Amino acid sequence: MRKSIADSFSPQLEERKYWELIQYVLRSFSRDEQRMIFSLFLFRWFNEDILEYLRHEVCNEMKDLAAVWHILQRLPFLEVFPERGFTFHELYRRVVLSQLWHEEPDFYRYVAQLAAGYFLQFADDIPARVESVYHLLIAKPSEARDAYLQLIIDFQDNGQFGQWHVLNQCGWEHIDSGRLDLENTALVHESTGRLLRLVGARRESILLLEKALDIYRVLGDKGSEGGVLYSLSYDYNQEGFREKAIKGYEKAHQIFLEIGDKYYAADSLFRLGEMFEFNGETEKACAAFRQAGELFKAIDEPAREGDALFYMAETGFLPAEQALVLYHTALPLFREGWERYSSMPPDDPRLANPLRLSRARMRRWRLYSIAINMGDCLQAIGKLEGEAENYYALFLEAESSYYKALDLALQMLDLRWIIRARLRLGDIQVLVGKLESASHFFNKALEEALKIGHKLYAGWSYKGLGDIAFERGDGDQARIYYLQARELYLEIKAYSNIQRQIDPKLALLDA
Amino acid sequence: MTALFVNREEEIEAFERNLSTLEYSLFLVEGESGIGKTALLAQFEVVLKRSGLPYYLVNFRNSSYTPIEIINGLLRMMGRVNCPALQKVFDALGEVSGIVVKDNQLSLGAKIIIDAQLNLRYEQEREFWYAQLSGALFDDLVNAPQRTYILMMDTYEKASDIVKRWISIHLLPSIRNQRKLIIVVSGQQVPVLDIEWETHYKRLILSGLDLPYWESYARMLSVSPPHPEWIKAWHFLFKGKPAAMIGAIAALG
Repeated sequence: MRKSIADSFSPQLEERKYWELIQYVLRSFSRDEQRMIFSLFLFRWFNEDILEYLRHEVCNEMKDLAAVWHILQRLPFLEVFPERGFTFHELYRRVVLSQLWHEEPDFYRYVAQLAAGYFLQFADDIPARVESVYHLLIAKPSEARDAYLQLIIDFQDNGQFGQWHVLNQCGWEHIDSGRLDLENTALVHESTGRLLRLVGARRESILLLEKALDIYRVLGDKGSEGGVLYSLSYDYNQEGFREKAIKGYEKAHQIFLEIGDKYYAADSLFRLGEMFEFNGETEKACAAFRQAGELFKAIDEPAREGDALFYMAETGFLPAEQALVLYHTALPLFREGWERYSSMPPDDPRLANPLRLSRARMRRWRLYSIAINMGDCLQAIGKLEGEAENYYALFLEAESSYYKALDLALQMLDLRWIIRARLRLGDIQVLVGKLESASHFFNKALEEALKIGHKLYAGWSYKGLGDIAFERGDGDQARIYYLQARELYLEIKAYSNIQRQIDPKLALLDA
Repeated sequence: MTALFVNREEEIEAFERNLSTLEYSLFLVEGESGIGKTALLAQFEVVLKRSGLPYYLVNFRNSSYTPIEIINGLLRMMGRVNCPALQKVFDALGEVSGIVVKDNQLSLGAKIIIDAQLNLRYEQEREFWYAQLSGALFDDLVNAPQRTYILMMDTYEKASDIVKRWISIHLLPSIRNQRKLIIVVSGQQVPVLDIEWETHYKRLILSGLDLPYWESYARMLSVSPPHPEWIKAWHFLFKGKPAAMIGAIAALG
């Protein structure tokens, strides 16, 4: 199909002709009036208050607000901005901002600073904070970066994804127009990637985080590079890119070591260990956990050192006697870690992290992990020392630890963690003979696991219900539950669970 | 402000006809920036007001909209008392979140808290609740008193990813084979549909308006260009795009 000459215009020419048109439209306005109108173009939206504010800042002669409104009403590109006020048509806005940016950069920055100042008056108003960042990105890029980061943290903490999306859109508008510095460009990519990750668009998220990673490397921003790589490695593994995940964690470990962030250097190794363990590579898992544990010990992180030792024992790679020693070494470390984190202020600097999560959130998460792992550790010792006098006391302490975990999980609203805690409670209560209560936890966990389609946890719930029936001497019912668990485990190829948890029970029933 | 134009008879007629025939459950309005998508939706509004059919219009230019806000808009449109299934889901959500919603009244605070509570939850649980809410919405729609309801969404490309996912996963699949809710999605980008949609939707791709329209538009506004060829030149330059043509012609006034 033949293209017309008009269709063949380059983007610059396209912009040029709109700019000519705008100048033509504005030709009858005074310089002061034009200055006012161009200032308003910088705002994503404006209302009467903003007009009033700007009138005093950018105009010498325009004394009357009604006159300003009169001028605006005459503009053919004025539009309503839903729930906020007004804006200019995006086509015109794009052209005017581009012209101002290239031809009058000082004026652009001056108005951006004014606009940022206006919105900063409303520090408690989230949309205003977002708008202030939009303008600060031009007026004061380094301040903008800090404010942007704080908003990401707040939005993650409070689940304000709608506003987070608006914030990212602010950044993208500047990126698409070539107005953003490299530091903030990386941050906008990272922020968008992190939001997409949370809403379940993991593939798209990976692409954005990789782009952010590239820019952080160019900038030499090691801390951000490590943080993004750490998150990406987890996602690679989830998406089945195992080799990339391994390399990612290894690289993240090196980066964190280089910048002296030993906590995340150790944690990268710990995640690597978890990955190996999940894939059945117990020897490699053991080595990674050992190395992580040594690093955690070096920085006096007893709970995490305990995690590493406990996970080493759990791999099944070591003989039972060695595993028991590890459990016994880990247990006091968990107790010490619990004491430390539970008395730690929510904004303690030790909770700083490169994952853009709030310190308070990180504290809750660490307490939850300690509670679960300490309970598991107690349970493991109790089972291995079944003949010892104090095994019942160990189980009761584990139960109490799981209750703490459940409480924290309920505060954090994460159903996976809630179910995990319920299943642990069910298991331990079977061991101490509280069958009625255990049944409640397994049934609740089953209902929730089915709700989110979590087959592993649904299988675990059925297995728990089978154990209760077994304890009650109802072999037929136990068999039904075990077979249901087996079926679900088969669907997700959790063969080791079948071998360790289900088949021995079925064999017992057959016997 | 941008003047409304009416030179989209074909599109308006297709939309109006569908209100009687209910042939399609979805209209996609596509076109580049400034081509007149928002203005066309404003014309659809005129048609809807005339016909007395209930409608709800969302403009994602203010892109902080969330699925809960859209559900609230639909509740308002359908009448809150007509939505017992949705109330049941709010009750169930209240059991796990502590948020009390009575008579389907979602205050600003309740909307913010429900939205935050859903966002903070694990992705699959969030999907579960959205599925529950969407399922209830369509249960209520079946029994709602009006013959049909209309949801119009403008500037779709600016909607957040969570809203886009909700629309494509929960909302659109539910309306394909029914005609109780007709949806209009307008934007520079619109949802991608699969083959099953073939007979259920109408695509309206907008392009610039022809020169004679702009000549008569200028005459209607009683503006005369300094040279008779100006309108023709502008039409050529701006490809008849309403946002530019209206601006240019207005500047003559």
